[in-house]
Amino acid sequence: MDIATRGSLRTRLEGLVILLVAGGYLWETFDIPDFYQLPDTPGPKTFPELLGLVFAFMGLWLLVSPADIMARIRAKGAGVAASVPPAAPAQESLLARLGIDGYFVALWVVVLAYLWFMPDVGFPVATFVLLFAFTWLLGEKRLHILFGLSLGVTAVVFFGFKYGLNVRLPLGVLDLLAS
Amino acid sequence: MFEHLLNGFAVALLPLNLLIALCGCLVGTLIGVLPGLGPTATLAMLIPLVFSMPPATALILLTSVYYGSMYGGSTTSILVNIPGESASVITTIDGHKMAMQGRAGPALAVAAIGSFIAGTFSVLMLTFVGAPIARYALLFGPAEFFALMVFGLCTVASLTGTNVTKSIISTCLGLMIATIGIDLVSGAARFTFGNPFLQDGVDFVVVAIGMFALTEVVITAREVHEGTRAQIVKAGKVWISWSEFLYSLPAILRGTVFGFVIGMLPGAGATLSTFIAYNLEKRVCRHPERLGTGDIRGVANPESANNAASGASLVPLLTLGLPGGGATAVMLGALMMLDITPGPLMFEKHGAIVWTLIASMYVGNTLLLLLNWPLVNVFARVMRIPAMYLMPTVLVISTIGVWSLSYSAVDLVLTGAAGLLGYYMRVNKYPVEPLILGLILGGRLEQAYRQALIISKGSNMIFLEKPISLVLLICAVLFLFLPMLLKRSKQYKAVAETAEAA
Amino acid sequence: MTRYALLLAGLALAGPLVAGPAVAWEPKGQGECIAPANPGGGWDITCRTASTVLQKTGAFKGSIYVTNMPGGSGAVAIANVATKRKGDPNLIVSASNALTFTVALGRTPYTFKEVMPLAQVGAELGGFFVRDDSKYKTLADLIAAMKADPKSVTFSGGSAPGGQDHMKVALFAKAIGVEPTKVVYVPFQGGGEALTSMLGGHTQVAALDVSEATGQLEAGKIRGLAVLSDKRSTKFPDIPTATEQGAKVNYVIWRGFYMAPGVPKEAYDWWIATMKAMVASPEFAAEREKLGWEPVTRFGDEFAQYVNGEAAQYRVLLKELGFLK
Repeated sequence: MDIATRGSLRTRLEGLVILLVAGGYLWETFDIPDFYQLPDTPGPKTFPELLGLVFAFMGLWLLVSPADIMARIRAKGAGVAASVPPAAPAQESLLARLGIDGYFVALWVVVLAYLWFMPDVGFPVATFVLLFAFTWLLGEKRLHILFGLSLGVTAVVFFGFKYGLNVRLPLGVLDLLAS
Repeated sequence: MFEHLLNGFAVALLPLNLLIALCGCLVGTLIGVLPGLGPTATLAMLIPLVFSMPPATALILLTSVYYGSMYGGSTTSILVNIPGESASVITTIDGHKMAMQGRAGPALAVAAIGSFIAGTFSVLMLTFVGAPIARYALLFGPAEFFALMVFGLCTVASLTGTNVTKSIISTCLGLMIATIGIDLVSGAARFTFGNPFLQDGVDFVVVAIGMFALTEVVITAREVHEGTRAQIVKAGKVWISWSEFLYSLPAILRGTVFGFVIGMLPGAGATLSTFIAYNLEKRVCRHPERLGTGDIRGVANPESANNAASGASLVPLLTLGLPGGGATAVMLGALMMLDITPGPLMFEKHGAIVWTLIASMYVGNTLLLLLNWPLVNVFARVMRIPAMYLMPTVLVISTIGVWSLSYSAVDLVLTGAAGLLGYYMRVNKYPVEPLILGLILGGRLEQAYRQALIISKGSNMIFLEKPISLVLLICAVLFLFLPMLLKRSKQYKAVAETAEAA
Repeated sequence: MTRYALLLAGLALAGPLVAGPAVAWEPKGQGECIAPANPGGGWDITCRTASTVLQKTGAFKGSIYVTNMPGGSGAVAIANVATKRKGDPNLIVSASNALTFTVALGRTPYTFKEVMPLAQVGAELGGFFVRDDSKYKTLADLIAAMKADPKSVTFSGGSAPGGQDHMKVALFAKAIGVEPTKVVYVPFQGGGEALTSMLGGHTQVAALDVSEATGQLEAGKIRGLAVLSDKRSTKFPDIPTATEQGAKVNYVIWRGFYMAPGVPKEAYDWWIATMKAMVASPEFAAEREKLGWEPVTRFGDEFAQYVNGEAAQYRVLLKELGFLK
């Protein structure tokens, strides 16, 4: 019972989010210019509008969860005391129910910060910091290993890609130091 | 013809050319293994070398690299659950499960064997019946393409989904992402917010690295942290056993045929063929319930399909001079730079070189198989590196894969967003594969529909009047509704149960 | 590698002769050519050809790297060059009038005035092609059919409406007095697909560049109805021009380079001199022959004026077609 209600709450939340995204998407379709189109043929708006509507419908479906309601009605009809279960044991916070905790936030902050800052900070420095932080988060706490490993992998990857495969990697802050 | 082919072999088997082919296969495999760097990117990196070599040697290098990187793409799918290119997405389903069960060796081996069989089949077809069958590509106009895409999308219905709603939502999201960019048919910019980086749309690599690589890295990190990570079974044997080979052979053959037939059509050939082949496999094979749980056929089938398809895409290029998409476009550019104008006269005007190229395809396929005997061993060992050290490195290399696309910070931000979305989807059992299929097919699906309607001046009847498109649409409908009819059969229930459990 | 070095050293001695007038400025270090597209496309080939010829003739001492920077039909590259690469004297960027369309359509806030147009090194001709068994034997047949009913002919091309291939059709329609917006034009992803659909009989006339049609033309599978230029193609002199057949269209695809803004005058002059020497070299002539380019060139200010004029001209046309408000 507990699991079922938890699932349905989350399903409803998902439905709401999907509905909002669909709304935003449909709103943006108004911005599509409508030039060059032969008469009687679908233009650039047709397909996105259709998609947006389908998506919105799916969101609505999840929000209402007819299957869920049907199940309850059926359960009631069968005479089982399937009244709306008492508010689920609320020891867990909403965040925990969605699987969000400190560790989760830390992991994503490190990953996203790397993607965000890499072009400006430069590949070598950003990568070193990322490897250091991420490996630490993964449970390697010995500093000398962390340090050596991060430095080694950064160097190998940097030189390998830059000179081996000719990928241009930003130097960032190192560039400023050099000049 | 045999004489020409033998002459071709005489050149391709010269020690220098053989050495070049071997290096090409090795380099191609090693680069193809890096997530985000697929065959097209690999070929592009080698184009400069083409100038400094005799034409025949240059072409041998390019084909062997092409084969190598096609194969390398499946390696990451199997080992770390990150598809190297769009054609290896399906391989992740069974491949990675096999690796977790300690069967990375057989999975990699069957991919190599499947690739060899499929690749050789394509070259044989090219050699003996290339020109006549290549004309079949001409039968496909916009209307037929639309029908094919619809058929492809309908395969999603039976893909991973036990939950139809979630599959539809996922497909829809993929299609919506595909609408970003400049619309080809009208020239209108859609959902670009005035940003030039979005005008070409969102690249597959961006979404795939986000949804597969970032997600995998974070999920693994959590599992390691919480101590819930499934213990990887110690690898048993490294190469595939004879009985496993016989077990997967029908899947390889079916994958090869479907891959070839679909791959000859330009566009999303290789990827589409893996999706269709895998789903047809589910319908026709024995014990379909095993597929999706780490079955070796789930690797053999799509890997054969995508290699047959990439071989097949060379058929219209070499016999009719008509390029398909992706890697063949790079090949076309290389041919032009070598002063070989692709066209129907290519065999007459540049016969020696073209036959050498064909001979080198046989050689390349064989070398790749031989090369993989030892390589499988090396790659399978990657599974023994503790996740704690492997995952951060995977993250860095994946990021470079995205960065090298067009050196754009926007791509990195989008990758992050795709990662968050992918994480949520994975944790809450939304299948990711339909999204990828929607993303890859979406643009072409819409284009083909509207192109067909421009040709028919707005009449939808065009899809029913053309026999090929009619047949494909009927098949699509059958594909959608057959499962519902079969729903009550025991077999279907068994499939659903095992899939649910997984 | 050593052989290569020797070759370079040998040519370096002859360098000043090849590079033209002795200019004080010389590039130091590696050169770079940005191709704003994926490998294998026209912009990529332009870069690779120039970089090869410049290195082979020793006009550029050192190597020239080609960087692919695809995105927004050149919009990504021009934005990058105009903001992040200011004053880089070792950088050239390949371009063609596809970039003029990006600029004219306002898909980038930058124009040719924010960068330094360097040189046009060649030109390609566009044309109309039909299947060998088509009922349109000459351009006159096509004109007659279109005048009778503009919707009776289906064109295919490798660009979106408002792009290169569509413009061939639109300009042609205008020249023969047919409303351009009434013409049935089916856009495809690239000339190859447009050609395939025409060969398969799904569309009737393909609007392509001559180089895209070369293979099929040589095999006699397709026929050129007209090239859209004042002069006939050097490679296929049998195809008459549109002007000869009563439709005055002159639409030539230029191929060339621009440089980053703020490049020192000496460096810019060095590049112009180098480009002039390059297009005159036999090595370049051989490449030009391969690619089917016409020997039409423009340099420096003349080129800058030409592209700016072209952008203005396109803007007028795109307004008429309803692509710009």
